[in-house]
Formats: sequence, structure tokens, C-alpha cells
Amino acid sequence: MKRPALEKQNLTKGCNEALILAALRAGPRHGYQLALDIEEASAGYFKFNHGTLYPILHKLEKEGLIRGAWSDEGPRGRRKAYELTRQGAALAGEQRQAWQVFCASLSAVIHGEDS
Amino acid sequence: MNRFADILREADTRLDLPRPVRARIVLEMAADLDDLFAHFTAGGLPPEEAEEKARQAFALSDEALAELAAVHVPAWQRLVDQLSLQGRSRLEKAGLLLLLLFILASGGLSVLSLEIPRAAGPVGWFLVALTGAALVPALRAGVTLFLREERDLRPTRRRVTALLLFSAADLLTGLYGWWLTIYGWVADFPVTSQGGIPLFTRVLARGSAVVVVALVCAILTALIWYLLQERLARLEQAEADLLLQI
Repeated sequence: MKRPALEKQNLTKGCNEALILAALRAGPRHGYQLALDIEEASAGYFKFNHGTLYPILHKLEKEGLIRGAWSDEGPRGRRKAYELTRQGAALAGEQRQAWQVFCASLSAVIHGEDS
Repeated sequence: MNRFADILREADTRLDLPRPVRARIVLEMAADLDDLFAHFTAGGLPPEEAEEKARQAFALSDEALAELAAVHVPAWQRLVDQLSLQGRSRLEKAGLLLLLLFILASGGLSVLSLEIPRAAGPVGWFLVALTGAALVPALRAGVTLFLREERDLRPTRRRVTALLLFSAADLLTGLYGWWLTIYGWVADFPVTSQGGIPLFTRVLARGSAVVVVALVCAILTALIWYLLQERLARLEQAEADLLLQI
């Protein structure tokens, strides 16, 4: 599936996807871990509702950007962990750069207004 | 009973998706809720408080459920699901039985007795071998699904999916064999133009035999896939139902 271009107007829209892809750069994670990791990494700024996580995860999985795999963890039962695909890792890298440019530009404008 | 059964039951009820997909989503949610609860209790919260916090963190909005459904539902699947709700089980069983009888009556027995594969030549034997190879993952999946009922169904799911590939391979091989037979006839025609009609008849018979063998093998493999797939879906649904029990 074709991804939307990484233009400024799409960055905000794709924020949740970008957060998940970025969190998965650290390695495979279960859904609940992803939400906790994002919350922790942002010092509580991004409070992810776990319920809203699934549509994003499943969409990314359908698009081939992440891969979900079930594992049997004994008494804990079956668990589904997600990891980045090669395509997803590439997009996560692109998004990282795009967000850096976006944030730097935004910051420059905001600070420019202050001074 | 799962402490979050009510949330899971609600998600199961509100998700407008085919049952096997719904079952997988519910299983995923159940595992995440349990882990979230464990995370909060490990952080020092008493169980009641940890449960409440997990419930709050997990809130499933209508919008989220609609988005989740939209991700999973192609139009044809929705149609199939609607049909399945209307006495699907009986219809499917009757349909399967009729299809099997039709295949056996209309050439399937000749294929099974190897009469037609013999007439189809090397391609026919290859198709028989391909179907034989498909029986290996089918038998392994059958043993797991009907006798052992293992918890980890991933390898079984892969084996069941492989049957569809075998079925597709049968069809493609049949198509290839048919055109190969025609090509052989056309290529040889100038040399044997004296006996053109008898040769054409032989070519037609062989080409048709190839197609018949390919179709019978593909349909039989697809039927086995369907039966195993249904069993797999029921096992997953049973696991999800267990979580939803009061």
C-alpha cells in the first residue's frame, strides 16, 4: 500500500503512527508495552489510550510496516508482539528525520516570534 | 473467569467483524489487559486499584472500534459473514457434500483410480504428486486440530494456509500443462500433417485430461483447506469464548 508523502500537513496526522514506529525501533513489543514506553519516553506527555492502539497497530500491520507474531508464554498464555518490518524500519527512519526538521522549523519560528 | 471478561465481551459484541478475526482481536486484548494489570500490581498498586487503572487505560471508544473494523473488513468478507449467520453450518455441510459427490461422479473417481492422470501424461503425474505433497501438511494440521488441540496454533495456521498455495499450484500447473500440450501439437503439426486429425484428437484428450486432473486436485485440496480452516477458526473462537464466560 502506498504511504502518504511525508509533507508537513501529513506529519501531525501521522503522529500516532510515527510514535508507534519510533517505539518499535527499540525492538519487538506487546501492545500494552508500546503504550507504556511511549508514555514513559515522553515523560507522560503522550498518554496513549490502549484501546485506540489496536486500530493503528492493525492498520500498520496490514500495510506491512509492522509484523505481529503470537507466542505462547506458558502460564501467561498467548501474547502478540509487534516488530518493525524492513519497510517499517525505513519509514521510521524517514519519519524521524522529517519530524526533526518539522520541530526545528517550528521552534525557529516560535523563538523568532519571542525575540 | 477472566477479570476483564466484561470489557472483552463488550469488544466482542461491538466489533462488526467475522468471528475468527474478532476472536484474535479479543485474545490480543485479553493478553494486553492481563499484562497491564500485572504491570500496575508490580508497581505496588493493590489488585482492585490496578484493575481499575487498567480499565481506565483501556477504554474502547466507538471510534476506535469502528476504525478497527474498517481495517479488517473487505466487502466480500462482510458478505460471507452475513451469509454465515443465516444457517451457515447446515448450508456449508450440504454444499460441501454435494460438491464432493459432484467431483467424484464427474471424473474424480477416474482421477483417484489414476486412469485420467495416466492419460494426462507427465503433467498429470506431477499434479498427483503435488496433491500427495499437500496431504503431508494437511495430515499434520489435522492431527493437531482434531486430536491434540495444541495451544500454539501458528505452525498449524501456516500449514493450513499452505494448502491454498498447493491448490493454486494445481490450477497453474493444469493451465501450463494444457498450453504445453497444445504447443507440442502445433510444433509437430508440419511434420505429421498427414495424420493431423487423429493427432488433434489425441492432443485434445490429453489436454482435457490435464485440466480435469488439475481441477479435481485443486478442488480436493481446497476442500481440505476449508475443513481445517473452519476447525481452526472454531478452536480460536472457543478460546475467546472461554475468556468471555461469566
